[in-house]
Amino acid sequence: MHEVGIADVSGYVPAYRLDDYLTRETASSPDVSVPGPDEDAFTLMWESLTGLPRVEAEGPVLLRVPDSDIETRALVAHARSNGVLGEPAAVIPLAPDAGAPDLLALAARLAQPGLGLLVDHRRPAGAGAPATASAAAAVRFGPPRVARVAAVAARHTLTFDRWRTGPAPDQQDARFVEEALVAVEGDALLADLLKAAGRTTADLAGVVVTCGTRLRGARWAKRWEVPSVWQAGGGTGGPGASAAHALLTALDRLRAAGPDGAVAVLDLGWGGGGAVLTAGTDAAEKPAEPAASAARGTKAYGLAAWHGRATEAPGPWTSPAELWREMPALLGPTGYRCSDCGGIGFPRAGVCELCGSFEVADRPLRRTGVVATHSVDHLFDSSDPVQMVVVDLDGGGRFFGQAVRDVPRRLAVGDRVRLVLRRLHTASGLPHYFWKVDLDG
Amino acid sequence: MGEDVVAIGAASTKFGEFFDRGYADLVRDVVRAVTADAGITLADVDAAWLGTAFAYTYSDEGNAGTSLAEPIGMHGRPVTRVAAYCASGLDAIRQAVAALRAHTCDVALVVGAEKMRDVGPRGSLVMQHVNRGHPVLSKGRTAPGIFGLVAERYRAVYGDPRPAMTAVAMKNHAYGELNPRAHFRRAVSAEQVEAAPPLSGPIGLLDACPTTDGAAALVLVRESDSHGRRAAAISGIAMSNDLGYFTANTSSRSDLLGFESTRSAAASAYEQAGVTRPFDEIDVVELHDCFTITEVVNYEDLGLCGKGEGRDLVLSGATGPGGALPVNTSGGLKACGHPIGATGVRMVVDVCDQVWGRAGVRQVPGARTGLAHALGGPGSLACVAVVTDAGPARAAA
Repeated sequence: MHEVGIADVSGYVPAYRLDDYLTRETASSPDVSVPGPDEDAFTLMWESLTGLPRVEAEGPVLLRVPDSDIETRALVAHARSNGVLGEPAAVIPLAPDAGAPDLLALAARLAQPGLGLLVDHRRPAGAGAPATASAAAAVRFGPPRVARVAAVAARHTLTFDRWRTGPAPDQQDARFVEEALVAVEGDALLADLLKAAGRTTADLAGVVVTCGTRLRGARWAKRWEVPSVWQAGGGTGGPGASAAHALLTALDRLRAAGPDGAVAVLDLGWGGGGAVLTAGTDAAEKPAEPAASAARGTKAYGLAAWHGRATEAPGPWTSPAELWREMPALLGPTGYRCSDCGGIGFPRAGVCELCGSFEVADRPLRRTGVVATHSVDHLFDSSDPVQMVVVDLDGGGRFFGQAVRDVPRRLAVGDRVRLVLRRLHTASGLPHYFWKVDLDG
Repeated sequence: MGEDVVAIGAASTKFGEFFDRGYADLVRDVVRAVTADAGITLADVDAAWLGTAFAYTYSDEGNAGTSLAEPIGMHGRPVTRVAAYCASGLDAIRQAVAALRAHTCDVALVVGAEKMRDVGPRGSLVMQHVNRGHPVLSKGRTAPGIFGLVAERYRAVYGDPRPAMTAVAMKNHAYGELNPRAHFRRAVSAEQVEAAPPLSGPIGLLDACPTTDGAAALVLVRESDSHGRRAAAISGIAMSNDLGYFTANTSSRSDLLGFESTRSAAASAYEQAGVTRPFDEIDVVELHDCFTITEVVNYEDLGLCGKGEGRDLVLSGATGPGGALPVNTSGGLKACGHPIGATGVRMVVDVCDQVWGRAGVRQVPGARTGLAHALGGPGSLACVAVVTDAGPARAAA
C-alpha cells in the first residue's frame, strides 16, 4: 500500500430530531439525527459535497449511497449539474454494507487520488424499529492535509452463526454479539492494523467502531488500552450503516488529538475492516465543523410518513425531453447575464427580460440572497402548510420556490437565506430535485 | 386609431353553479339574450370571438370557435377563440374592436364563457397550477399563493393590508347581495372575513373569488352603423404582456407590489380615450378583484390613487356605494363570480348597464364613463377598456 492522504473533508449531519411522540413510538433516542421529510440520500450527498473545494475534474469517485432510489449515474449527473462534483475519471459504486475502512482501503490502492462519498440515509424498516443516525461524508484524497491513511486491514471470517446485521432482538443476545464480535474480531483486527502502521495502542487517541450492537465504550477502551472508544451514529445500525458517521467521527477525533494523533477505525461484522488514520499536515489548524444547523423538529412527519408508508400524492407527468433539456440549468442554478444591459435573470433564457436583448449568456447564480416576499400556502397538497418564498439572489437574479420543511421559524421579508437542493416530489416514477430556501446561518 | 366601436347589446347569464346547464347551454342562452338586447338576429352577425381561458381543464369545450358556433348554429362565418388567462374575455373584445376598425366585419359578436363547476376546485385551477405545470418551477404555486406574495410584500413596504382587504370583501359582497346575476348574493361581516380559513399568507377563503359557471356577450358595431341606438363606445382598449407564466415570480422587473401589465395597459387605454385624470374622469369601475389584495393594488396600478394609497382609498369609502368612484358594483369577481373567460365580457356588460342607466339599485347616478380591467395569469398580462356612453344623448350633444 502506498501512502494515501485525505486532502479535504466535508460532512453533513441532518439537524432534524424526532418529536416526543415519534421518539416514543419508535423507541428511538431523542438525540439521533434524522433527515427532514424533503431530504433523501441524494440531498445528503449533495450537502456533503458543497463543503469541498470545487474542481473541474475529479479522480475516480468511490460512492456508497445505499438508500437512494435513483441510479448511481443519475446521482452523479445531478451533482455534476450544480457543480459540486467535477467530471469524474470513473465512478465506482461501493456495496451497501461497505464501511469507512472499505472506502479507505480501496482509495489506498488506486493509482490516482479520487473522491470518496459515504451516505447513510436511514429510515426505520418498520413500525417499532428505532431511528438510526443519518449523515453524509465527502473526502477528497490527495495531499495529506487532513489525515494520512497509515494502514488498512481486513478480516473475512465465518465464526458465529448468530451475527446479524440488524439490532439484536433482546439484551442478552446483544451482549453475546458484542462479546463475540468485538472481542474476537476487534482484538485481531486492531492488532493487524497497529502492526501494519508500525504503531502501538499507546499511539492511539482512540478507536471508532461500527458494529451491529450498542457498545459499552469504557469497557473496550480498557481492554484495548486506549483513551476512548467511540461508536459512531448511536450504534444501532448494521455493518456499514454508520459509515459516514464513522469517518466523520474519526477525522474529528484526529483533529482534536493534534499533530501527533492517530485514530483507528473498525467496522465489524462477518469479520471486519479497519484503518489507522494519522494527523495530516494541517492538523494544527482548526477546521470547519460539519454542516449542521440548530436542531429541528419533525412536525411534518406522521408516523406513517416516517416509516415511508405514507401515500404520496401523485406528481405531475413529466416529459423526459423537458427534463433533459431544462434540468441541468435549473439545478445549476444557471441563469443568464445580458451583455447589453448587464441584467441577470433566472431561469436561463434566450432573451433579457430587462432590456429585450438577445445578447445573453449563461451565468451561474449565487445561492444566497434576501427574502423579497413570501406566502404560507395552505392549498398546497401537504400535511403541513408550505411557505413559498421569493429571493433576490446576491449578485443578481430572483428565485421563487418552497422553504425547506420544518424551518425553525417562518421566513420574513429581509431574511438572509441560502438555496439548498431538496427533493420536491416523485413524478413519472422519478424523484425530482429542486432548490428550496433555508435560513442562512 | 380609426372610428369608434360601440356596443349596442350587452347581456350576461346569471353567474353561479349550474349542474343543470352545460357550456353550450350557457353560450346559447347568452347569445339569444344579447341579440335580443341589440335588436338584431344572428343572421346579422358576420364574425364572432369566443373568450374561454382553459379548455380541457373543467370541460372539453371552448378550445376553438367551434364551441360557440355549434350551439348557436352559426355556420359559414369566422368564429375565433381567444385565450389570455383571466383576461380572455376582454381580449376577445379587443380582437373584435380591431376587426371592426379594420372593416373586416360589420357586426361582431363577442362571447365569454367558462363552465368551471363541473369539477371540484381541486380538479380545476389547483390541478392547472400544481399538477400540470412545469415539473419544478410551478411546484407549490397556487392562485392564492401568487397574490399572497403581493400581500406580504405590501405589508412589508406599506403596512398591514388586512383592514383594506376586509373592506374590499365587505364592499363587494354588499354589492353582490344587490345583483340578481351574482354568484354570491349575501353580505359578509368583518368578523366572517377575518375568521375564514386561511388560503395563502393573509388571504383567507372570503378574500378569494369563487370558481363559477357563466357566460356574457356583447354585440359590437362601428359607431356610424349604430344608427342612433343606445350605445356605449369602447373608447380605449389595450392589452399588455409583461411577465412570463412559470417565471412570473422570478422576474426582477416586478416590484411585487402590483402588476406592470396593468400599468402599461391602463396608460395605453387612457391615452386612446383621452383620460388624463382617471379618478376624476371615470364614474364607475369593474376591476379584477380575484383576491381582495388584488383590488387594493389595482387601484394603484390603474392610477386611481398613488402608490401605497390603495388601502386608504377603500377604507375611505370612496370606492363603495355613494363614494366618489364606485368600484365593482356588480360584486366583482369576489361576489359576482369568476367564470374566467366570461369575466372580461361581463365587466363591460356591467359598465354598459351603468352608462345606460339600467343597473337598478346599484346604479351610479349620472354614470357616463366606466372602466373594465382584467388581470391574467400570475400578473402576466392585463387588459383595460374605457367605455363611454355613446347613445343618442352623445350624438345630440
